Amino acid sequence: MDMFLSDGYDECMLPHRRRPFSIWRMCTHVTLLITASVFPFLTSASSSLAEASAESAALQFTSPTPASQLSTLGTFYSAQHPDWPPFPANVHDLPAWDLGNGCFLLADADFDYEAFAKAVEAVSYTSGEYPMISRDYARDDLWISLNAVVNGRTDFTADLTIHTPETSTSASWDLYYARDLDWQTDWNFLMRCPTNIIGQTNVYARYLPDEIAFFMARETTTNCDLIVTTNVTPQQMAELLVPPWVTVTNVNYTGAAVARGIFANGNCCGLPIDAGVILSSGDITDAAGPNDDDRKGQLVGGPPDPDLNLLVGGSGSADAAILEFDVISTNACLLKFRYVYASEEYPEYSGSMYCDPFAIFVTTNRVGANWINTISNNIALVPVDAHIPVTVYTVNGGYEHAYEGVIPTNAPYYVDNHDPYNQAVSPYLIGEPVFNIQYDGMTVLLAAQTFVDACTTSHIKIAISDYTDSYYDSAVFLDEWSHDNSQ
Amino acid sequence: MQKIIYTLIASVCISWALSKPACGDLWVSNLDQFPIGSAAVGSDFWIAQSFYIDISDSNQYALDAVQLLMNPATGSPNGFAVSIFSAPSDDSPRDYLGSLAGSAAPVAGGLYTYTASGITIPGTGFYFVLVTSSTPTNQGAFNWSASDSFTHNGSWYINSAYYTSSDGLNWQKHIRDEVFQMAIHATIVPEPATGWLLGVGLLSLSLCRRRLAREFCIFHRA
Repeated sequence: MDMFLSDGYDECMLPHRRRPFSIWRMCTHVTLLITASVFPFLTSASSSLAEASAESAALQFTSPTPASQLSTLGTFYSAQHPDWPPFPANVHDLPAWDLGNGCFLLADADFDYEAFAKAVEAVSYTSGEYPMISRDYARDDLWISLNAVVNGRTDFTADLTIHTPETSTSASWDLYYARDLDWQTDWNFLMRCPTNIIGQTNVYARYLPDEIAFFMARETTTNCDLIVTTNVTPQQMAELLVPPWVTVTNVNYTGAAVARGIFANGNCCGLPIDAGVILSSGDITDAAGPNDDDRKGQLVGGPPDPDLNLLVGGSGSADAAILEFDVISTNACLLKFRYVYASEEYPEYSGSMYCDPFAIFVTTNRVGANWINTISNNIALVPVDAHIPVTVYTVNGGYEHAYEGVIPTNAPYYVDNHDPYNQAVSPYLIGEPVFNIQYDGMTVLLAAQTFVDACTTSHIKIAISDYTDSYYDSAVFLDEWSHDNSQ
Repeated sequence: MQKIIYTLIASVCISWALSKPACGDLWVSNLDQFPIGSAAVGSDFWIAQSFYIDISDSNQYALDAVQLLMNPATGSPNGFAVSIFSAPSDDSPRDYLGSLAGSAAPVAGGLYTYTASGITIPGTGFYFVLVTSSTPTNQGAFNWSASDSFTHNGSWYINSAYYTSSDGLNWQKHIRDEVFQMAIHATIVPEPATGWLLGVGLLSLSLCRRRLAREFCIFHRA
């Protein structure tokens, strides 16, 4: 059964599956709870639903509480469709039984969801309007529309729009997700979404590990300091990045000691990665925010890297930080590296030779003791094209300048962090540095992945460098391996 | 026969010595780059162009010479001086390493060579070619030619950063602006182990030579 269909939903995105539904509900000016189910079945909450159904039998002899006397927000299970995910609010203003702990069982046995959905679909919306599901949203409401869902090979992406209240002055909104709505929902930080100049923000929630995701947006209220430390060995860094069943050997780091380490507090700085490994073309302590400099960076004496030169087709790499190691797994498995590439070169050197390349080379090819890397071994690529490496040149929001302006390149993968003196091109620029890191811009969360064969040694080389000179540093934040993020 | 051998050895040695440039090996140069202008040098306007050797290079170098590309001077400057400084990190000139000998009045445009003596620069380090003069720029200025891009050769780099100062004490950093034109010549200093090996080799040769000479004399006496 269809429930609600968000504007922009493309049925082709979910072939052979029942239509997804989205539920919206205004909460307050600063907090909105939204659920968007990629699949209509909430398998993980089946035990809770069974309990709810059992209670339903007991409750049928008592009268439900009228909607007007109930909390607007909560976890509302459908008595008519106990296999559905719970609603995050009493969307249809139905009477319900209070189950305690903020949970309710809707008295919806007579409610015709199908007719309601058809009524919603029958409305034709003009550009700029969105379906108002259970009520009209005022200009001061906060709500999210689910525009599309893309099922990847190993993960899922949701295309969302956060419609922000017109009266809000918040420069960014933090997006969270949960796997299910339970008695105590565990909301995970997903990403910080800067508000663009037209008062809304369009985001792709990428690499969702589950078929079901519930989203919540709220005004950014926390901003803490990024923690970085070089007090870690290259072996520890390499082991952080791969699953525990993969053996890491022959770890070697080339570069300045200050250019590599680990970081924490990423989420509360707005990064989509909370903790992991950082490699920089300068000093990693320069990564901490706020972004108060348009040219932060320093020469740390790192060497050039011939493979990065090959990638860019020149010879200008300098100040490289290179982590190399061998991996061998007893089973064939997927190696997945989630990362954010950030640079101080943005936006003013977006189209220039100061491109600061980043690469993850994976190879099984070697001659003697030397591993052979080629351009095709690089798995850190711009998603739109299977051949383009991630650099300032290949992913940017352009540069707004009367004479030296640069048009944006692969801008949907770019996130601005407000250079104090230079601007990206509208609508990719933002009004203030909402990410508490020093870099002027970065990529969205990206993933590089490859399958490795069982019992075969693969060589991994993760490298980043300055290019053309040693200033205006760049860095890559690599997510530590976890079962949720790296499968 | 022996005379022929000695003559051959001597010829090879002289040829090898002549094949070496007078001022050591050229490690990095941006003299071939297109000049975009120049900057005035005076007692009130010091310039320090940075160069560095990256961390992959563990050699020790004896600095032999620095060549500077100068544009014609303006006014009546004098007392042009060139020195080498280092810094523990990417920072302004801090530690004086030595002065170079050469023309104190590079007033005509062209390439000037300044030779060094006893200046050792370890690989993995940050260095500066620092120029100043004894006259203020309003009296006259030497003009150091500049290009606009960073240059590197192997582990040696002429960096896209330079520093300016009005007194040689307080420095202001400039990056991605101008890169002053120069070439750096240096010679790798053998490591101590190499020196010991060389010493032992020479001593052995000397002993052999004495023994051969003694036998040669005996032969002649006979």
